[in-house]
Amino acid sequence: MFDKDFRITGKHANYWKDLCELAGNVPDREQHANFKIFSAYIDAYIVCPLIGYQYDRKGVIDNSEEGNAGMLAEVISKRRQELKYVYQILMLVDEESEPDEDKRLYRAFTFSEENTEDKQLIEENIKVFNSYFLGGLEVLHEQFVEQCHDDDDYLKTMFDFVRRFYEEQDSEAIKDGIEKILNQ
Amino acid sequence: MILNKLEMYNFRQYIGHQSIEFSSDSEKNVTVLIGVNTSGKTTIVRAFEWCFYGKNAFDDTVLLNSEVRNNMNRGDVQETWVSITFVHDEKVYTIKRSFKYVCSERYSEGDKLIVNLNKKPEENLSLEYLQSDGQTKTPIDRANITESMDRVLPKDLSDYFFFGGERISSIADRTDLSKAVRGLMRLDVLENASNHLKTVVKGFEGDIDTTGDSNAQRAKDGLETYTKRKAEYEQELANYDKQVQYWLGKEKEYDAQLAKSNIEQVKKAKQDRDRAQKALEAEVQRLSQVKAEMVRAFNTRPYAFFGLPAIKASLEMLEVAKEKAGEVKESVPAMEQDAVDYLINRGYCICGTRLDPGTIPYMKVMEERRVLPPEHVGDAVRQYKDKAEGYLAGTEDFKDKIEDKYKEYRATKRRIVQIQNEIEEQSKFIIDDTDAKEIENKRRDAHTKYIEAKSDYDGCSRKLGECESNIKNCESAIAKYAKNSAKNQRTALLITYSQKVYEWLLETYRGKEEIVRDELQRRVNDNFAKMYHGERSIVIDDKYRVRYSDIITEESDGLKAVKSFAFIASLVSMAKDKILDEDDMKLGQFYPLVMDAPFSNVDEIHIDNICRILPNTANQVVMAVMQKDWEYASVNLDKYVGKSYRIEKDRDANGKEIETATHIM
Repeated sequence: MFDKDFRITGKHANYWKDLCELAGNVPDREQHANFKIFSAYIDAYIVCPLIGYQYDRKGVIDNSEEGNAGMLAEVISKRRQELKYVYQILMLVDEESEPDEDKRLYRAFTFSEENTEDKQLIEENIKVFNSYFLGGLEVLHEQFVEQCHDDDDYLKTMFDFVRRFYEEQDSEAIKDGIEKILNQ
Repeated sequence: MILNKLEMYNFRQYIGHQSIEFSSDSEKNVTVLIGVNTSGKTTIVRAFEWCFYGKNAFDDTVLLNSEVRNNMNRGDVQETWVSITFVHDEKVYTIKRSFKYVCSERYSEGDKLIVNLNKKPEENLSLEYLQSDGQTKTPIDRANITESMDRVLPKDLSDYFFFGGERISSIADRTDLSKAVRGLMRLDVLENASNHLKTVVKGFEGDIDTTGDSNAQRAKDGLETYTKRKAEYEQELANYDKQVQYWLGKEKEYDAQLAKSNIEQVKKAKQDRDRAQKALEAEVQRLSQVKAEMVRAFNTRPYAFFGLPAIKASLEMLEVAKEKAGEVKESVPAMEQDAVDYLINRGYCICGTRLDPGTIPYMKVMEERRVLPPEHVGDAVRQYKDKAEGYLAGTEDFKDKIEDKYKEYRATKRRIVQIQNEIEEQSKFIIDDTDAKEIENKRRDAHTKYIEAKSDYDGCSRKLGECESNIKNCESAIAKYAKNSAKNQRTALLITYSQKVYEWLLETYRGKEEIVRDELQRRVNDNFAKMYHGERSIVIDDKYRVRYSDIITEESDGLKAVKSFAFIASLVSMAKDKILDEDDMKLGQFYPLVMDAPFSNVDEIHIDNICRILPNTANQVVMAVMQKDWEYASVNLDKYVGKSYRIEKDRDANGKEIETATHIM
């Protein structure tokens, strides 16, 4: 899990490029020359699934426009622990893909690919993870790239987006709740 | 190959040490061994076969003399060996093969004595040659002996030179003699060489790599384009630089004019404006810093912020699950099942202990695996909480940091506007003076032009840099493909060479083969005519089979034998006469003829004829003959005989021959 190259095509690849700083040789760099809210592809890959989940948005690859973006396995493996953690959160809470609580519990802690059943299970789970990733990219693209014209816009949107999320989710109360559970 | 000497020790019916020296005199080149029937003539030919090639054609495979064998007790060891000394390519070789037998049991059954030997005797084989000093012996490595012998006289061909009378009639009737003929004439050397070259050419062809060519062309095209573009950019850059310098100079010039102004107010305003200008630059720099800091804050574990609601939900869910699961079994912190699987797969633990299925260490590790998630929820909850705590720590103020940075950004922006206004104000003071106003306008204009030119210059400089790195890439690609292409050219050259040599060899080979076929046909006919009384002519077909050109009648064994003699005699004489040799190609070889009872099927009149011809065609003739045959043969052969031996058996007290005690006298 999270030990292979990862690549997407189509519309979302372009979204991904719009949102992240582009390192290395990117032929269509000029088409994605806007302000970037992420330092690298991998940063977006870790957080977008949670944003997708929170905004209840799943995406499917859309090849109606041309696009291509990806990361090498070594980039992914450096951040593997964080990815696994985000994956676990999603696997525990996403009732849409698995209504049965016991099964969610099992899938969240299954990392061993020793038998074919578990291997298949993990493959399915990664599909869920990636569809939320695409959904998260859509949300952020709508909020940022489609609304903003200059750096000022981007920074203001960033500020608004964070603040709005904080307030809408009543994060203060959530933080207290988490603290209580962790201190038990 | 010319034979010097054959020695045998306790070999079959020959008891003790026996030695035969062969005549190698160029005139008297015949050695005869005369014996009665069953005296052991055939054993002589077989001694050659065994010694040279390890071929054991006896029905009873034990080679040790029976008399010697019968005297062995349990544990006794006896040896039998055959040794042959021969000359090849002007070197004297000695080959010796021996079997060492161990007696495994000895008992009597009624009045019959049974002596059993170990099934597999210990074999020894040596081949050595005398150095030109005539004294130093150099042994050939055991592993190379078979190959060396094959080079002296190939095993496949040996039965044309070592044969018994019963075999001779079949020789000329074989279905395909081409291999033998090519071997004897050494045409196989040419054939092998040309076959080898064919594979060499194939190999070279596989080495050619043409995939680089199109890439190289692309890189060349690219290099041309980029080089042209680079020159253009350099020209442009020089122009921009001129503009930058020009406008910078102009600005300074106007500045100096303003500074020289006598009006105090203008002077002060200018100083203030310069200060403000500096402050403005600092703030602009600060602004881009703050932007970067804000993005950095946004990229610091944002999942711990955007994941808060989900994390809380997951923790609550796990709390409930833990309640349900009850007792918590302790497990190694932060360990997961795939970590254990990794250890099991690689076969040893972190402490180095082997983890083979079924062993105690294996079971202990598997026990640990069973208390890990997902099988045990209790501890999984603890692990998950630890993780959550770790990732959440230090991100509590995620929102605050973003807010702070954004406020700072706004503040910096405001300050920039403020300073810009200040500068504007200062300029107004300057503008109050009419002369200065004009200068200030020009100065402002020059400044704007300078900024524009500088921006153009920077843009062009960046493009030039890109262009240069592209040129470098193209050049290294071209160098890489050029290396391949040089290799290809060299390989193509090698192919041409190999092809030419191959064609040359093939042509030579075909030419020589034609000579061989024509000459063979001529000589076989010639010899046949001399040996056979009737009028028959013979043709050699494409497989070197010997055919009569006229109608095929039933052949007697005697006629077949004559035909075979004619064939062998012709072949041997051709090798001897070196009909294929050229200045730098030595193919001719000497071969001895070793025959056992060669005349057993042949009419007396033919014996006469054959005997007239054989000594002249072969370099050396060794024949074991029956007393009665020798009486006919000796008439014509006697003058060629250099050495002569008799094969005789010992007799017991009653004058009866002892089968197992034969000697060569």
